[in-house]
Amino acid sequence: MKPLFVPLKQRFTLESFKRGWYRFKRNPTSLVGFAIVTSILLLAILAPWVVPYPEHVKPFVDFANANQPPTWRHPFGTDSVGRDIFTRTIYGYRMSLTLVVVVLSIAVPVGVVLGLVAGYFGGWIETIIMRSTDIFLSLPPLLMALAITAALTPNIFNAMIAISAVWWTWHARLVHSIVSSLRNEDFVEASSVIGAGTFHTLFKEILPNCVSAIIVKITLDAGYVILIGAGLSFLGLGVQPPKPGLGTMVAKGTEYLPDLWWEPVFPGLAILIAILGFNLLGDGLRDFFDVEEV
Amino acid sequence: MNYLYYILRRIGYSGIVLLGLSILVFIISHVIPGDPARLALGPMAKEEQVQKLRHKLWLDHPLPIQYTHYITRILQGNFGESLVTRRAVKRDLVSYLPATLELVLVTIFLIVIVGIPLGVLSARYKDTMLDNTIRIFATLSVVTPEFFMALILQLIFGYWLNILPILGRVTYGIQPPARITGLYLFDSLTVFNFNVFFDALSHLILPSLSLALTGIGQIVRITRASIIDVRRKDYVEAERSYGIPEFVVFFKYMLKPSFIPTMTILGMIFASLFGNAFLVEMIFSWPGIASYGIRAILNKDFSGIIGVVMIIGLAFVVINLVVDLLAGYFDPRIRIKGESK
Amino acid sequence: MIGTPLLEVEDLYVYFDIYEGIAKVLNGINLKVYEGEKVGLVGETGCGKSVTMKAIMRILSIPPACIPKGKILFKDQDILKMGRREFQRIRGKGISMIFQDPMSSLNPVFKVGEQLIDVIRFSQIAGNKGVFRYLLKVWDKHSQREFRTKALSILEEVKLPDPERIFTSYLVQLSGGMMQRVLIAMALVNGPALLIADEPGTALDVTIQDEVLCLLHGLVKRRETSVLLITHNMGVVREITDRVYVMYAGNVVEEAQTKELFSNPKHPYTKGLLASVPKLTGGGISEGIKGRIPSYTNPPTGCRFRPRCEHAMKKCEMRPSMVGVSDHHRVHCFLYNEK
Repeated sequence: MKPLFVPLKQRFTLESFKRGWYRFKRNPTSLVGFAIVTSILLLAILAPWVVPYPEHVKPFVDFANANQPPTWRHPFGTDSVGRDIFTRTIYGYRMSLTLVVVVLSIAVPVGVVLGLVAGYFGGWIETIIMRSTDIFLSLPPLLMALAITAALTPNIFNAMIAISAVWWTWHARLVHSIVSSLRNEDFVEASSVIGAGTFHTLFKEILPNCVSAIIVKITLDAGYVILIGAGLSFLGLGVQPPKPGLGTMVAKGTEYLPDLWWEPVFPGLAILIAILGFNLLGDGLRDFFDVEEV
Repeated sequence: MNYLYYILRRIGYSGIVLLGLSILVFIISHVIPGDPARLALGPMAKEEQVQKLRHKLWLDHPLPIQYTHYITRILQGNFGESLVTRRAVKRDLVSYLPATLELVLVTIFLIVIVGIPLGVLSARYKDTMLDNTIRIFATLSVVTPEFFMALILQLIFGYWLNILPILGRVTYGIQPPARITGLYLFDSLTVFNFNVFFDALSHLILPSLSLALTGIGQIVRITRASIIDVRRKDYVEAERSYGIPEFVVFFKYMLKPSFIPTMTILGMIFASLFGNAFLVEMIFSWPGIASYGIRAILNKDFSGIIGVVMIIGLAFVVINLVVDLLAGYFDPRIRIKGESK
Repeated sequence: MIGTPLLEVEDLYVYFDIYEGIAKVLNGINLKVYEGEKVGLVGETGCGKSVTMKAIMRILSIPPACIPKGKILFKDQDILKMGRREFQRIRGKGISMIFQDPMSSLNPVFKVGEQLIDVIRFSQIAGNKGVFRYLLKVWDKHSQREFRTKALSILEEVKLPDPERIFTSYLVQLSGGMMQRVLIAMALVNGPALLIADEPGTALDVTIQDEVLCLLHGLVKRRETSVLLITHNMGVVREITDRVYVMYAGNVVEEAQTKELFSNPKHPYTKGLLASVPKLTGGGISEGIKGRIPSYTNPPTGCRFRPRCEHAMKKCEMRPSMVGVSDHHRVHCFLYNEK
């Protein structure tokens, strides 16, 4: 049994970091994941300065150059109105990452707090919260997000709301399961015996034990949020053209199969690589923190 | 006895989830901006016609009454009329469900016959080239979006190699078999119509492969992980020390306990396939319930949405229940204690 | 102590490859068990007793473990050099083991009876040509009945009430004491020549532990099985064993007949160990031994007890050799000279 209660100061020491790094390095794929995610992040942040044709992201047409296959000037080819697909893909990453940041900034705090409350207090509070998660989870997340987005106006903003509305459930469940198992540990009782308030116990004692698992989950989530966002865009409910969204580009591109295959394939590959990167990094982080619950 | 209570509890709990789902859907549908009656009739319709339709759809009653009416109807299986197809939703569901069902069943079949053996091999030969190759494959399968896979498969097998069809369930011009279950493979076999059987089969390959890919990756991983986990357990060591030969230890004493987590995940995948099939259904023009649902959502077809959501939710809940039952059967701890760990 | 020993561990070294480096856990172990003997192996937690036992049963996971040097002779054959199939014939029938924690040593998903029958069934099939034999045997009604009878009789022998019911039970339906008896049954059913018992009963209540140990004692006496008892409980050692080996940090530091060891301990560690056992008579609170076991990745040179020993000398930086103090009493220490 791993000792669960490690005082905060001891937990995040240099020594534990070194050990974690040793575990992380052991699996070469984790490094690959790290490389991929870092590259994507850098590309997305530095996009306006890095892409070859930044003006192609705004409304732009150049029919003379339309539908060109991949060449050195246009590594991913051009689309039906002459825009460089490579540029738009990078900007697509920007879009996807924005989506991830927004969704997780909403879903994670909400989910974590609800999970903490449900796990710590138990009783009917727990029942209500956990049953709600069950209901939300009884439909596949994509379908739920779809339903919600369609009910509101289909655009990327509402898509973000819809996905967050579904996503909090996972974090709530994760935190709830950790907290329930910790609830009976001695250190929690000790904390209340010395007179610490509930607030203190929850946030200073219990939460730090969940942090590693939450971080791992967030990393893995990033990939899946991108996937769902792409799925929604594919159906026309996410990023609206002419804005560059990975799923939207794939959808538009499928109309030109099979001859102009590069139009859907490259954005699709970009999605795949993003998910792959986050997945591998997430697995690596799981080794780093030595977490099993995710 | 404990087992019985366990089952009853699970059934009751499923009922609650379904009820909650119906409320959720009801609420969402009523958040839709726009008047369903006006949407149905179009902007040219006269006001009184719209009012008539509103009355017919019970839209002029307070919400709780609408909900009660809606729930009673649903329990009777009456989902109303689809605004898109103008037929009873029930009839739509019945005609579209088998297509998705067939697709899902073939997908599960693929996942099981590919995923489980690969997972077992991967665990047996842990840390060898074979294991690493399988794991890379599994990771790639899990991260590939279904619609991307569908596109690539269409591109390669449909267009470039031109050996497999990419649209629909049967080739245009071929008559589908007389409907017994709606599952073309089954129906055509019962009348020994092999032409149609093989045609339907060839249409099933690409869509089910696209759907199965992620599932295969997941099953490979969970099978591998649970076998490795069981292998570390003391009782395996103990059994070896009593002289039981390795192959018996592996195939009998390690596989059975490892199977339970695998089965749970398989159940989860199965349950979610019904809803997740829609991207693939759309790409392959598969006339299934998932794409019907999407159309309903996009067109704000109130009745259609409810019908589809409830069916998918029901499938989900029923499958989970079956999985729990089976878990109880395979793991005596659940059966005897009457609860899951 | 006549003739060749049943089991002889000769100069055994076992190393583990871990994060901090190479842990040199076993540092040249020597021990012998003769036929009909009951030998104890004592030492505190972490001294390497379990590793020794696992090495003998060949259930160490290699990697991260490795055996750079040493022999383990069972009936004069080096089992470390045997092929897997050959050794398979010895496991369960020649050497058998009782595990420490009965709750995790039985497969929870199968009935007890089925596991017991498999143990019996496979003792008669050598190696892997058992695949077909196994399938044949499964369908052979006559052998089935034989096995069942044998299984039920051993369950009776371990004094389990209602063997029939136990036979059809699952792990989760049994109490701790029952589980331990089932484990003993499984270990003894094929009549092994040597039984290795790893801290038997420590996971149980003291009263039940006592019952179980009595039972074990009676059984091995009746069957004339040799026993290697591994424990940190000096009381048990005194009750059951004929001879004792004392282990510290991967070395055997003293070996003697039990009575001799308790009345006349020689090695400083042994003395400290016996002194820390609380006694009902003789007043005073027991003292522990100062210090802790050394790191295995960076062990002290020479005698590993040196950092904690009151009598440590400059000489002790060299590896002491085994010195015979009296009949069958040997010490691994520079304090003594050969008699």
